[in-house]
Amino acid sequence: MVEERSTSKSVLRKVISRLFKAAFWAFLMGGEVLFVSYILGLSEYTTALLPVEGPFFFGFMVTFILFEVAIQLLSETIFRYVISVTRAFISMIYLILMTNGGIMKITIPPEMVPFGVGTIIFTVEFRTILAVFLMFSLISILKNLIQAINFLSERAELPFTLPKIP
Amino acid sequence: MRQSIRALGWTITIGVILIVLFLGSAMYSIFQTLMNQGFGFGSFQIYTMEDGIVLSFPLYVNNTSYYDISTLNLTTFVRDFRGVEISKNSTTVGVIKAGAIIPTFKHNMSINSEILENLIYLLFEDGNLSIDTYVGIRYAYAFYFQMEMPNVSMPWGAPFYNLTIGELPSLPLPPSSFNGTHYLITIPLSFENHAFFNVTGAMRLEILNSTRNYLGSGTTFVNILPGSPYDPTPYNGVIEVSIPIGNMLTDTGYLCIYFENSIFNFGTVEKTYG
Repeated sequence: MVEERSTSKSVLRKVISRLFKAAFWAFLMGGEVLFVSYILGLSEYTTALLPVEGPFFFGFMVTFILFEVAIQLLSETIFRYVISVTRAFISMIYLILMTNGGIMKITIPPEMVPFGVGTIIFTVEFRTILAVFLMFSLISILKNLIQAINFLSERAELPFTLPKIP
Repeated sequence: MRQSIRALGWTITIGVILIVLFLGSAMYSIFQTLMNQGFGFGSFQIYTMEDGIVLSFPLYVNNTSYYDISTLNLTTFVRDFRGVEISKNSTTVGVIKAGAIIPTFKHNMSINSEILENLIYLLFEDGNLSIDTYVGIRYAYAFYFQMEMPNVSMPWGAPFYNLTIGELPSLPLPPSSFNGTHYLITIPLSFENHAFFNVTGAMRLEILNSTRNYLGSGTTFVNILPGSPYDPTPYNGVIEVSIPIGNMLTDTGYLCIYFENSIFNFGTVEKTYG
């Protein structure tokens, strides 16, 4: 009875600690952007620079946070690596879509342009930088795969104790 | 295996730090260069060449940033008020090293004489030219910034705005206009120079009778200072036409005007008289 209580206590402690850890990492890995954008009401400015609609950006950030929460909650299991690899793939696709393949356009309407010049369109092309970020994502996938293999091999080496027959 | 994982982890961390530092420094640097007037225009100049008019924009670059500007491109595309292409010019500067200064380079927009001869209405009608400007900079070998200013309006002043030819004297011609072999007729001629360049050249007037037979011609030289649609430079002159005695002037007919100078020619502009 005492042993059972202490086991459930340790599980609860573990769950609470993981929840805190998940909340912290969720805030660090995109939560702060959502906080600034939507809670402080600055989404108009942050999404204005992106070639995608506001809900798309919101969807990306929420997906990223959910993945981070799942990774933290499922740490010390093989699912952590599966989710990490999935997240890296999805991030790559989102990144390409969100930055329009590394070409972003900002249109300044005539009423905001001095000297009555008319509309000004700014285009920024940063495909090289995007390629570097995608390469990092690929390295991250590779790292997670190796970590998964390592995790499985370590688990296989653990001593296995047969449950006691009552 | 642990070593490989650690190595990959460090690669990602160091790589991301380096790229973020590079992004930060590049953005800060180009912003500082723009704020410190690293790019600028000199005063606009106009040249008249043998084959047309050249509008020249001197530019300077002072690359105070930490990185090279690998390409600088300026393209202008000019259309008239009827949407016809007048000129398309592009100027490209190669690598401008970090800290280097290019005191002056010129972007020339040429309007050649052939275009002025084909687009004859530009000589007589005011309007607004439409200019599309594209400025492109490849920066730090990683970014390409382009600023596009479409449909910037620039007023065009016609060099022969409101070209008017006065009436011919009524028939019969007075004896005082006859010099023994020819009749000399003085015809008033007026127009306004709204253009930003001098109108200098020979203007010739031919008279054809009602059956389109050539009767005679006269030439006058004009030299009118530049003007603008808001501040025109008027020309009020006369042209003396000599008609040989054998040619029969009729009550109605045609007046054909030709103009010729080093930049452009035009003709025939035809008007009726009578």
